[in-house]
Amino acid sequence: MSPPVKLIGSFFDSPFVHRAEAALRLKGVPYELIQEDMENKSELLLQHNPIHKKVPVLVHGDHAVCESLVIVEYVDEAFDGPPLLPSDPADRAAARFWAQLMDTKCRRPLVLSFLTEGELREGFLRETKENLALLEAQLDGKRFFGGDSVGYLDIALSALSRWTAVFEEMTGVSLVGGDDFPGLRRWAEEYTSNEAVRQCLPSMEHLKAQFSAKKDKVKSVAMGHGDAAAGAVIR
Amino acid sequence: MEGVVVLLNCFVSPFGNRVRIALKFKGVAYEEKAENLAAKSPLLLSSNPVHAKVPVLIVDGKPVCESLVILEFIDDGFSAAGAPPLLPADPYARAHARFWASYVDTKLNEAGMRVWRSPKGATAAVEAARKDTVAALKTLEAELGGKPYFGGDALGYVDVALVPFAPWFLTYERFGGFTVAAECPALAAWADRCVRENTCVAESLPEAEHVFQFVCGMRKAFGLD
Repeated sequence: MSPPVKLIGSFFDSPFVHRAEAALRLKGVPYELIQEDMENKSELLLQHNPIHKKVPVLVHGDHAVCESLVIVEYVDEAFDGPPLLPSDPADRAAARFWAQLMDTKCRRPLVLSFLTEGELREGFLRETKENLALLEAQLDGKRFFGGDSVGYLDIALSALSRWTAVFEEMTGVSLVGGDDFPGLRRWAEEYTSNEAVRQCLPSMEHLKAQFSAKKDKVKSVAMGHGDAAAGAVIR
Repeated sequence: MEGVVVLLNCFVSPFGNRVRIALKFKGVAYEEKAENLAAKSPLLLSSNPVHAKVPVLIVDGKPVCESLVILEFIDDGFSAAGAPPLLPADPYARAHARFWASYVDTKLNEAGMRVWRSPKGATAAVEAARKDTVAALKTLEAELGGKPYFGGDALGYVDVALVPFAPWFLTYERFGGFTVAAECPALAAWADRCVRENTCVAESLPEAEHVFQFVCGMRKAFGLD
């Protein structure tokens, strides 16, 4: 009998926490979500993630697993249920490559496309569109990056769905929701409609309220410290 | 896995040398093509169009990019009899290893680069980079604890991810003004052990002096001196 699973998340509706929740729900693993106040970090968080002090953290019995994509792979390997990663080594490598790209290359310009203005915004938009074109090509008309069902890469790219849609609505900037990336637009609809995923997706209204409240802080962090900051932006 | 294996690498690249170690560890025959990063080959540009970086592993004409992704690919795909696994079997142990390999990339590499890449005279930047680099090395040393290897009794995934940075320690030391042996004696000992006890490591790493000369050359080329 597997010990209980707790997931330390945040009030922020972070896409990193969502990755962990989506993996758990897709595998059919029951869990308790603990909402962390990131302005006032608990002993539980500091004990289980002393190195980075960030969410999500998965606590499974005695084990604490940190870093969202590491958590997704852990959930895939530790629990029975439909596989999240493909079985072929080359396909697995491709999924991991594109997931890493999201965090190291796509995230920062994507976020800054919405948070900046004028020439700065134009630059980040150009970069983001190049990245989206790569992902559109990788999707290659499939329903999901994983094929017929939601998989690891869909989960890794989930910020391109609801979170990006919220940004687009708040700023009037059109990216995934526009006409340039029809495959990604359809993918975002499919992803957010998925039965398991829907249950751990924050609502548009909730996200809008969160971002409005934190916009200035989020922007200064994203501008100041590069990729690390872009990671912190949506925490 | 069948097919010809080609590695695109640059001899000082810690990322590329991770792959060298892993291929030798698994006993996989491969051909290495040396890349001049100032004049990248058409093969590199076509097989890694997104990043144009080394390493790239090309198996039967199909490229795999990003060193840690390549390590997992090698582990997934080359499990012939007698070739030990890089990652442990237990899911939690695997997650633990992946966490620490990622730490090397995001914390140690990032800080280390700032140590040697700062322009001449940028003392405050170098000092900050030195502090961060030493902090990352100490954190890694604490994770090693009393074990001979990060993987336990034998070389594993985290060891392979980290040890190619050992030839870079001399460069960090000379530009940063510290020594790894003084700050992190157990980690220095671990690096020596990796080379001494594992031919796949000894055969894969450049001389520290060669790395330093390479970096000096790069600094001149970028006008940092």
